[in-house]
Amino acid sequence: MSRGSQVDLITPRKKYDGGVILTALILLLAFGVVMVFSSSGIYSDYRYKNLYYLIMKQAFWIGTGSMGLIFFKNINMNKLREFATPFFIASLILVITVFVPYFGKSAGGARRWISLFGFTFEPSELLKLAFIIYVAAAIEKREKVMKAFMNGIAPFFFIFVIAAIVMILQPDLGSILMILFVLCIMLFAGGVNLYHAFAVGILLIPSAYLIIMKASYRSKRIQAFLDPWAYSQGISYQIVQSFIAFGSGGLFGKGLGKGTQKLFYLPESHTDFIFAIVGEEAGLLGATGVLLVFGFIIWKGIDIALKLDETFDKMLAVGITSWIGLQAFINMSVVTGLLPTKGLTLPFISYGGSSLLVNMMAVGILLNLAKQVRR
Amino acid sequence: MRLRIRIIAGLFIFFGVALFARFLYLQVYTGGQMGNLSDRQSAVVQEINAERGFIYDAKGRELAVSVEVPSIYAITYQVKDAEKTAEKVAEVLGANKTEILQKLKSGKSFVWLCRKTEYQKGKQLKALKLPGINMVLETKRFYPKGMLASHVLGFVNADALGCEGLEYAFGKYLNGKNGRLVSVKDKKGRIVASGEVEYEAPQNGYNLVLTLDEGVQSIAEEELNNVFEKFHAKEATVLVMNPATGEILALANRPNYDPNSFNEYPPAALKNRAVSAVYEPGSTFKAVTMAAAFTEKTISESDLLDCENGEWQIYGHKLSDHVKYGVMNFRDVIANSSNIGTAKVGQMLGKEKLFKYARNFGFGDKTGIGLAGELNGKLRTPDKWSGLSIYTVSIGQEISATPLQVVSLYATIANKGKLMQPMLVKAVKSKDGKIVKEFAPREVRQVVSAEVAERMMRVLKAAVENGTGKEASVSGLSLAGKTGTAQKFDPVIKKYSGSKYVASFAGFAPAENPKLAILVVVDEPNASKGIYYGGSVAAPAFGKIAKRALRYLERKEHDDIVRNN
Repeated sequence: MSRGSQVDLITPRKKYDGGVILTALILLLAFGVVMVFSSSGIYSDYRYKNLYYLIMKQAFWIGTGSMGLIFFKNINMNKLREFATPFFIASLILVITVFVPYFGKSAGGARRWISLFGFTFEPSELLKLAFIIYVAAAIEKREKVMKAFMNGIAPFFFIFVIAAIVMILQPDLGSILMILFVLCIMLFAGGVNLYHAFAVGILLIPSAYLIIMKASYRSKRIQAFLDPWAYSQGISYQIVQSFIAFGSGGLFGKGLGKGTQKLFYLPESHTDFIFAIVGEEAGLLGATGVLLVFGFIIWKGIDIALKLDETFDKMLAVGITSWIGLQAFINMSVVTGLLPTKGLTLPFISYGGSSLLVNMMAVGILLNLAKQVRR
Repeated sequence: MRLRIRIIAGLFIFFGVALFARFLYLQVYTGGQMGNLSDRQSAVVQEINAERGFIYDAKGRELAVSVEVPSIYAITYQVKDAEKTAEKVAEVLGANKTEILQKLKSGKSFVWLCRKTEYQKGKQLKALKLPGINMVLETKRFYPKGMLASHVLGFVNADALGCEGLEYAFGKYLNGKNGRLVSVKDKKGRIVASGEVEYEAPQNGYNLVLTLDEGVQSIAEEELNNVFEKFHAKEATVLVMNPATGEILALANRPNYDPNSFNEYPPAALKNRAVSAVYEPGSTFKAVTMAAAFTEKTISESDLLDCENGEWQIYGHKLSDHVKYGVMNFRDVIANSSNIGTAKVGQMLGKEKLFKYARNFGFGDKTGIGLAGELNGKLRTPDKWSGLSIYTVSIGQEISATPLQVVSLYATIANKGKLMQPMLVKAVKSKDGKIVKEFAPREVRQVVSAEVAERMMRVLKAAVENGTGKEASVSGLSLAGKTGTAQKFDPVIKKYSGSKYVASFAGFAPAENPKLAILVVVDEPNASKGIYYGGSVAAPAFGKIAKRALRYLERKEHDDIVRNN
């Protein structure tokens, strides 16, 4: 493959425009800052006696994320391919460290965080990215045998189960489902035999059922999802408050900062349910705008994947795009009651350091891939 | 591989479209409903009361005002020691401690402890500086003159809405529009300082300037009280009107009430009998028969009538006079109030003509004074009259009228035959004195000619000078008027009662240059003393009111002239 700079010198051709993706990202980040400030200010003032405490932290993570983005935008893709396996293993170990006393931190019945210099980090976020890079590299390596079962699809699910076990200990079902969905998409794009995929799916259903029903809070979430208004003061309080917030925005919203649902009526209004506040304050207009920007990023990501030549690059583009796209769409679905509640943030908009950092690193890789596109 | 990637893109498009559809459903279809739910849980609406318009008499004296009084409320979560707080609050307010404690522990974040209490109590509580106990000034209606003109003014209920009288009838001017302060509270009930605040300024109500004169009203009330108490009457009414304009200068009824504490009175006391009760006007109605007879040239003052020596049989019915009269001229028939003589004139007129004049004077129809509950009175059309009716109607029986209709009749005679629409409100003014609406005197119709009115005045003057109205006369003042003594129809025995009367006197003063038309009605004066005639019961009160009111108005006018120079 002639991916040399020689061609560039002979015919100064237009490079693939990664700038539009960056623009879309900046739009989302900027809007996210406004929404996080709007939804967290009063909570922050109440909890930390400082209106700006959480927004300052968010600003710090955007700065850190920008560095991550720049690093991955400029990293040599061959290096990334080489480091796929060690990166994945390192991430797995990092996830396990949450169980190390004085190092790991727990909140809300889950042990997902490690604490470092006063900042907490959620290593399972990093594991998602490492998993995608690893799977992309592995698909390229096994390109010839993807149609086979034992050499094709099976090893991927073996790796998935390892990652899943590490994460179920926390427990972090949302992240497990996320990497499962992304894995399925990548394998599908990577040319796996559909009958094999179907067979694995049937095998997974009973275990998925067991995992969901084992924890009572999960089965309650399913109940709350199926008939939210019946339990509006109980298990479905949050989703009903989310409906009220999102719906009350109407066409144009109450105006940025003018919503009332963040006044402790809607729990997690600056994190997982920030999109409800977007709907409340920016209305159908704002919510659709955010949906369209994500749609645009997905479109560009898929476009890049189609235009790339190497399998690793292609798979990486598909994986990262579908990860960000799926996480955004699933989060919106949870907020609007299309899917049961899961602990997933809205990329680039929700408050949350680790997910923001890792998501921005992923976009950095996508921008890096954009540079590889030949025109 | 490319195809599969395109399929993935297709799935995302499908997902995105589904999400957009869901947005539409939630924000457009259920948007309004969700908005209501959101407001219901987070909005705190505080009403800001508009100041109700004041009511002034014709000379600008306050009859009804709104004063600011403190209302005490508690923000329960700010209260430190509920026991102690309740004890102290109860002590100052003179209330029950356990009741206050219950309110403090009701779980609501905001509770009223006492609405519209005395100023002093509010001040005392404020001095105690109890955490969580606050006060706000609210307006309360206050009638500084107490019972004076209560039936004209009406009163205001606990919700600050006018009931009865002008408070009700002119409510749309007086009310104003309450303002609102909508603030936002968080889930824990705390008002969010930075929250969006919606402020709607209250629009104060308009003031009313009445035609009523406090001086004339006081005189009328005082004299009405005297006659009401002296004769142990059941009810009584007085009306004083300016005949040239229809302006009512005084209106009072007994029993009456204090609008500051209206709920302590029985419903009967609240009734404005001057417009909301009817009675048989009796002999005072003979003026209508006279007006018809003069205009139709049926008879003149000096024409003679046979009064049948006090007893006359018609249609098997006995018509009688209180004194046995023989042959008298028509002037004396009216002056002495002979039923037989007047009935004969009525018969000469015929029922159509009598009805027409009664109607033109305003009987059987509302005067349009604008008070709620005004009655029409009963005046049947001639086709429904029996053969006897022409005799009874011409002496004021078989019909009923409100006191206001009767005083209008005499005001019309005094005003050279012109019927003026009675009025109570001169003008509606904004708080800064701008005129919002002005009510000019309105002529309803010329009922009789000025010449006929003049002739009637002379007859009515004779009635006071040497007829049944003698007891009305006061020295130095010429009066014109007519007595009325009507037996009350007793619904129990379906006959006119032998012991229940309505004694009245209607007329105007001074006779030649009338300034005032006055009616005094006394319902069921205690007949056991044998005094129940209008001439004895109502006429003296009429005379006193006329004299005192005229003197008051003259002096007042004089004062005004002095002040203007």
